[in-house]
Amino acid sequence: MPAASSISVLVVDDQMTIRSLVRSGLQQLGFTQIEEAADGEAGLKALITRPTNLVITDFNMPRLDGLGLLRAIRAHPPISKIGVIMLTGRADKELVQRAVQFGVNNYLVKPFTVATLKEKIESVTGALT
Amino acid sequence: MDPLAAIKVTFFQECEEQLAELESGLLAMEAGDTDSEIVNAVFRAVHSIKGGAGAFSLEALVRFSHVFETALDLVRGGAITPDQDVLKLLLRSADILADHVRAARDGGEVDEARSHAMAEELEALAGGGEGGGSAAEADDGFGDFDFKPLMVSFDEAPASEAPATEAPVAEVAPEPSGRSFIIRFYPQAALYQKANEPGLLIRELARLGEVAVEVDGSGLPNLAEMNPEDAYLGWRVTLTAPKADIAAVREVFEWVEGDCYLDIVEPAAQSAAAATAAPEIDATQPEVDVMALIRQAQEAVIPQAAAPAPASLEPAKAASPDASKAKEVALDAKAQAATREAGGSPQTIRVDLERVDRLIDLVGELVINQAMLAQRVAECGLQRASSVAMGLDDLEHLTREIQDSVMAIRAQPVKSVFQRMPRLVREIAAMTGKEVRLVMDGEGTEVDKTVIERLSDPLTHMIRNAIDHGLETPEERVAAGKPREGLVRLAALHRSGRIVIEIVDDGRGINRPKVRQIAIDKGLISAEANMSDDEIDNLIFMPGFSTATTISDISGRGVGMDVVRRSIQSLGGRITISSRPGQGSTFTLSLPLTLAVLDGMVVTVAGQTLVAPLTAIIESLQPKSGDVRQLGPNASVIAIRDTHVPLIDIGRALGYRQNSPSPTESVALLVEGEGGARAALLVDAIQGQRQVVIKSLEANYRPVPGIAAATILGDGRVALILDVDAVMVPKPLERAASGPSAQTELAAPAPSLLKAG
Repeated sequence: MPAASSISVLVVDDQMTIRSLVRSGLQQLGFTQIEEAADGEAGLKALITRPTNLVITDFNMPRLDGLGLLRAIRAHPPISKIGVIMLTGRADKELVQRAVQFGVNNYLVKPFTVATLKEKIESVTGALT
Repeated sequence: MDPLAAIKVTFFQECEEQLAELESGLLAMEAGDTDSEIVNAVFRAVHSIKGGAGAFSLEALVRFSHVFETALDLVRGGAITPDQDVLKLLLRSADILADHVRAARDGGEVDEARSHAMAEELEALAGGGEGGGSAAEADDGFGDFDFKPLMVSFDEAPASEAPATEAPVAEVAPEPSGRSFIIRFYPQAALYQKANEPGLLIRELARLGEVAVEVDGSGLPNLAEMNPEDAYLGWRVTLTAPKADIAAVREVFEWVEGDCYLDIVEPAAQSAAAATAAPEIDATQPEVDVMALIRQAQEAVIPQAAAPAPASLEPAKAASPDASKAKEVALDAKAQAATREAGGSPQTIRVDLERVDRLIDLVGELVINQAMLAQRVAECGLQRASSVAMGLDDLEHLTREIQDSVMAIRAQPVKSVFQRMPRLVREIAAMTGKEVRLVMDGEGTEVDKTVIERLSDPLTHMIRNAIDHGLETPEERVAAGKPREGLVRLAALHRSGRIVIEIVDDGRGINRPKVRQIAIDKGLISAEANMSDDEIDNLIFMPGFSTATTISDISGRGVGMDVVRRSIQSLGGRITISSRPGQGSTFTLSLPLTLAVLDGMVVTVAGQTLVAPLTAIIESLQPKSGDVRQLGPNASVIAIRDTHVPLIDIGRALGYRQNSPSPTESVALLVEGEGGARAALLVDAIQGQRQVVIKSLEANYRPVPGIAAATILGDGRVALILDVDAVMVPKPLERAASGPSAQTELAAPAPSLLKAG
């Protein structure tokens, strides 16, 4: 049972609003190691330079999108085991199905509540202490 | 502010950015750009607004953006061809979306009927496209979705912290004598376009020490797929340089850093860092090639994601009248995207404006303090070459630089005003039945935020005028041998410390006989007046000139150009017009870059030092006795060339003295007030021109008639800044001193007056 504060999270979204919302939710859940990146490319660079346990990423972003980021993570052994939760709009079932093919750990539909965020994270990391 | 409210503020700020992106993207598409990245950006903008709106339960905004997004998704997927009609619809939808965002932000209402009609049009468009239904479902659509979350094992890879931390650090303590660096250098196409040469850079590296160079050709595609303009190669250089430090290595790449992926590590230092890092990131792992990784990932994803796109974009391309031109635009956009990419996303922080203004105030104080100090030192009789005086010179230089930099913080590109104009032009064109193309230039030109805010109304008014009055109807234009589509150009540029804004139209120009006749009818000029073309053109700025009696909802004709001129002048600006019959008119605005400092003429009046705003002064002259005529005991006029203007003694107007000195021993400043009226202001002497920091009298003391503001001069004295318009109206100032007069003002101890603020 990992403590939320021991898990480092990278939030990747081109919208500062969404990053802030996710960050705010994570903070309420006791997370303290939270980094942000504004697109998949910046996210990937951050992952390569900084140890990270969990990535919460948007799908639709400039430069490298969420699927691309997921694919790049899984393709690169040092970071391939990182948990990835994909943020998605409503009814983007097709997108999630594609993300499943690329090995996404779970998905999170926007807008979300802190309770849902917790549930989705716990499905990936196990119950948080 | 609770955190959610703060995030909401961010959301609305981001919405503005996204709306701007949406509009510029749609306009680029309208101009024939079919680059899929632009279509994506347009889609993303609406998608992002919808996503954020959902988080804050802004239902109306979510509903409209959903319909809009659905249509854009079909455009993106190729089911809808973005022809001119579709783009016009999308542009109008963008306008409505902007209304929704603002209504959500400010709590106002949107025009429901219009929004509803627009949503229906979008739905009709989406319904017309193939497969329109799939994205249009409003509910979650995840009800029957079978998904098994994947757990991450935290045990499989050893836990990230403690165990790995201590031990290795000591082992890999860097040896001071043999520093070595691993440099990974992956040029982008832009680097080559700027005529940089990797070979030379590597040679430069070799000067620092011994190098071992490996080429990474893993990014090379098949020959058939290779784009000769693109960059595929990377280099891995191991540099052994006992004396160099990482900064020296970085310096080699100083000029190309934005145009390449560059990674410089010092393995000794790195392994120390890696020890604290989670074990996944192991320095001994094969080198990470981010670019190859990204390329790989994109290759894997894109063919699926955008499969329908190439085929579907074809019709749009064919429809574009000039394919090669469209391609040029696309390339241009790509180049821009590349520049953006190379520079990374711009690093910005959002700062409360009050903090910036406080800083500006403080820097103003600093400038004054520095000037006072310099003066004191000079009074002490120190030589200019003494080290103290020279130190002060440096200080002055630095203070000026600080002032400029701080002012630059408040500066913003005029884009925020300019970007409202395309919508305005669309709406007015639709209302007047004219065809208009708006061209904008110099949107990046920066000017103080306050100036920008107050520019919006006059610019709106002038653009309206240009279309409503300036441009002819399409039929008239064709008859006159001009293109049907009228041109309005809005341009901004910096010129000699001011910002110049031009509004140019290629319409009919000013109808001089008509303007002249109106001015005569309204009694503004005499029928015999002999006027130059220029003077006639400038009549439109006169109060009371306005031609129409009702305020049309297009031009606001009841308001007139005199209001525009007044608002420009209240910003310390000037407006001029030049016009050629049948060819169009050009309005030129010239504005100061900031309202915090003022170019002033420092003058002496009855032993007091005053500052007159330079923008109001036309010329200064020495009155000759024959030029002055007395009109009763308290009024006189002065002949300046062939006109007479009132002669006002500032000393008396402000109550400094009862009897005016002889005009011939004084200096007259010919000034022009905001209304265009002229007067000659009598002062004792001119001290010189100076830039002064404006201090509000109202905020620090109370309003004083005849005085606009105050400033502090280098010697620490307070000088009052004249309100030229107020002193030109003689009567109210001469009434019995019931209120505070400028006289009592000056008697007050100067410093205490300003410390309060």
